[in-house]
Amino acid sequence: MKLEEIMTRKLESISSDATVYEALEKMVGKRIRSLLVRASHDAETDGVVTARDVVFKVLVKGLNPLKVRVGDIACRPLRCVSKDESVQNVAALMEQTNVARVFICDQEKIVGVVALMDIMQAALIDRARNAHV
Amino acid sequence: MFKRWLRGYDKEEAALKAMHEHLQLMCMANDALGDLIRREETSRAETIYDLEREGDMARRHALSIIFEGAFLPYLRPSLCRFVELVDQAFDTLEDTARFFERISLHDAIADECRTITSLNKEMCEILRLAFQRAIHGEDIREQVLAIRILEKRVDDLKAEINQKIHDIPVGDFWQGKFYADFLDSLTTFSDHIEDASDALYVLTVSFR
Repeated sequence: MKLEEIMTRKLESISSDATVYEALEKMVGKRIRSLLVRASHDAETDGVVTARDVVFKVLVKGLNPLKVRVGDIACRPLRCVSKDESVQNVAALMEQTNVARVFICDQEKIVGVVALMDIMQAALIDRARNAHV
Repeated sequence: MFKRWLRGYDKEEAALKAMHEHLQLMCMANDALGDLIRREETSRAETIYDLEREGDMARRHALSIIFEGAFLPYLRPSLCRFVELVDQAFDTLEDTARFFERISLHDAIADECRTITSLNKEMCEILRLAFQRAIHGEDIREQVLAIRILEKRVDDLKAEINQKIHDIPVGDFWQGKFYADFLDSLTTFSDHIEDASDALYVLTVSFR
């Protein structure tokens, strides 16, 4: 199974200058667990912010999410792979680097994202499809 | 396990054969629909209509054998329900082809529609495999779960299409109606397959 078949093409993003509260609003509103953080300055690179980052780096530390920049808590660098990469290799990369989502890039452009949940579902479908009668 | 469904007569085997043929024809029609929508091979529409007619014959054959007394009486309603659900899916598939012939797929939603076609095809294959496993007395819970996952994906794509559909220009009432009907039947197919897989699962579970 190729990544292209299981990746999410609809990427939700936010500017790195936005506040964590704005990111929270977006995540809650769209019921998603991560956002692509688009760099708003040349000195920055794109990153990703997850619900985990928001909780551990801001909320439980008692920081005000209205005053913290998303760019300051985003994880970088983004883990990018080609859309032709196999699901097994991506799973191995996730295990090695301890990340839960990998971005799919096509000539420097991010075209999708694959999360652990997508890989789990792909594995389940593969098992069901290849069951021997 | 499935041997317990049988009473040792040929009727049961004939009914199962007809049911399997029905499923197989639906999978073939699904392949043809994939060619029709992905590659716009219009000649494939006729293939789908022919397969649907053949499928109707297989369904009638399966049901008539069951009504003639195949299987234990308490199994018959569940088996008939499974056959009818597969047939509903088959009819929906045929409708999709008919409506597709009357519209031109807009670029804004073309990718989503093509992906749904692939997912529908995959669901169909997995249902056929589940049926084969069920008649061999094997567990089908993995197939049922896979179908549920795929159905959820179709639902997500349906939501994306519904968001984009407002931007699609519609010439007149009928064009709009055919477009809406096409999208409705394309996305309803997976619901029928999920219902059929649930019905099959209930049949297998009743023997535990």
